[in-house]
Amino acid sequence: MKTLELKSALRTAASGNAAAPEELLSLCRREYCSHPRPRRAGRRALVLSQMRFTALPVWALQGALLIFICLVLSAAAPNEDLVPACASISAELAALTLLPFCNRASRFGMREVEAAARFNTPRLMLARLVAVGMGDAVCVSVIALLSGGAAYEVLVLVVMPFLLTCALSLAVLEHAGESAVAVSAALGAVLAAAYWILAGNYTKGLLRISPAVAAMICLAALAALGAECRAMLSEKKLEKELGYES
Amino acid sequence: MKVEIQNLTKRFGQKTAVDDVSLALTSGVWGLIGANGAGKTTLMRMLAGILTPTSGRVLCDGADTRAMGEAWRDMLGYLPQHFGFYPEFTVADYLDYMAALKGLEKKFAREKIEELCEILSLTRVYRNKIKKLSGGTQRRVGIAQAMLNDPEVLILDEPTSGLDPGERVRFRNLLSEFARDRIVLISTHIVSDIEYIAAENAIMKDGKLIDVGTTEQLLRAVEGKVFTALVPDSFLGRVESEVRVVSLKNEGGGQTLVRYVADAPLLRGSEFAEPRLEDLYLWLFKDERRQDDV
Repeated sequence: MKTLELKSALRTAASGNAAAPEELLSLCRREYCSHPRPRRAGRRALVLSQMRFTALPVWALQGALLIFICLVLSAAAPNEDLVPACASISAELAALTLLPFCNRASRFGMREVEAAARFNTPRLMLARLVAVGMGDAVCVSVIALLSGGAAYEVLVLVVMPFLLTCALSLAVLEHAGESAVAVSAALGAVLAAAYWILAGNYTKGLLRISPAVAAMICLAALAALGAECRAMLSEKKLEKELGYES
Repeated sequence: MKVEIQNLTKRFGQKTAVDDVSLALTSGVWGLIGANGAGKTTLMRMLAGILTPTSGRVLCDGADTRAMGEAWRDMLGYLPQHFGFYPEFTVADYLDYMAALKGLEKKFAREKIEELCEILSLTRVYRNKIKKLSGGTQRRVGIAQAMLNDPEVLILDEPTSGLDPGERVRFRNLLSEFARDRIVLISTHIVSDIEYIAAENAIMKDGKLIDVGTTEQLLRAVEGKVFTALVPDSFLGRVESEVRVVSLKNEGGGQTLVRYVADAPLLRGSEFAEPRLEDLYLWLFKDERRQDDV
């Protein structure tokens, strides 16, 4: 119907009616506005989508781990010496739950199509970090609460091993080639074992680290994490993933 | 709308994948033709903003697409040559996921997904896992994601590979309709697809753009160079090694009709034939050996 109106307006315009172009313009505007245009959703919608598609499986794994941790910590509670070691290893295992979900876009050939979308790779990574980070925060908080330690003990025995494991496993993941997830998981397990021994036998020694040093180690781990995330976004890495050899 | 590629170059170390390519794309379907390794995919990736050019730029109605950033990607639909997906995704999950990445509002995305699934015959497999679908159906899912945001510039790298002849015809019709007021750039090895729908073609060789024009204009290069001849079957081996054969058709009675390209007739009884894009492709890329496309 609108097309017919447009055609008739065009005919009138061609016949030299002075008012016809204005009429035609308004018809065109109406037609354009009635055409459904893609409406845009914001960044919040992107984060929510990442919760649905990326974070839910991580959360499921972390939930299962938390149930396991609750059981272990409640069993270890009577033996106070075991609690710090259990808390540390739990924090490390919580960090390791992220491994299967790192670099998935590259592993499954989604990187290219994601990079061409409106919310390109850096924003997508940020959205994923926010979505997955929420689960991590809950996980670490629950472990900290269950361990029942003071703030400083939580920093040294829960937060520090968590961040160190995240940084180490991500670094390994980035540089270990095809079997990266397995190698990274193995190294994480080695770190967990080391912390188990340290926290189990030398808790007092560990807690003698000054708060400034502990905070610096945490900050260094965070900086290393940031650097690895940045490296993941580099053009060189993308080129390599797409099969280009320099 | 006009997309201008200005002196685009991409180097990887010593290798130049795309060498000083300039091209002005206007509304309609554009075919990008070239042998493997000609630089088509790299050019498309730079257009899609996935790779940064070593030098040169892409302008959309005069604005640099790298500076446009999100606004450019908003206008863009892209189907890569190798279609990837997360193994747990169903068609519905995949399209929902891509709609979120494209920043589409939920209601619009739902309507668009429904529309595209119907057009691309995906409604029946909507709840199925992508990994369990055939190659052709997976390709159609890829095409659907590229068209989700109603793109004004659609870049399709080998969109018809894996599609059966019926699907290819439907896809060509869909694109012809879609490209009325938009730019569609297609690279494919199936030159007949381009011959049917592309208004203009660009030919790439060794990273350079060697020719641009309508199919009719490009075919002038092989006018008078395409021949057919009836050859006894016993001579076929020799003919194939000495002549650039386009096609062979068994005519029965120990005779085969050979279509070939050459500067002058090489076989007895040769007749001139109407040139096609396939003949031109074979003429231009006679020396190309198969290698991985970059």
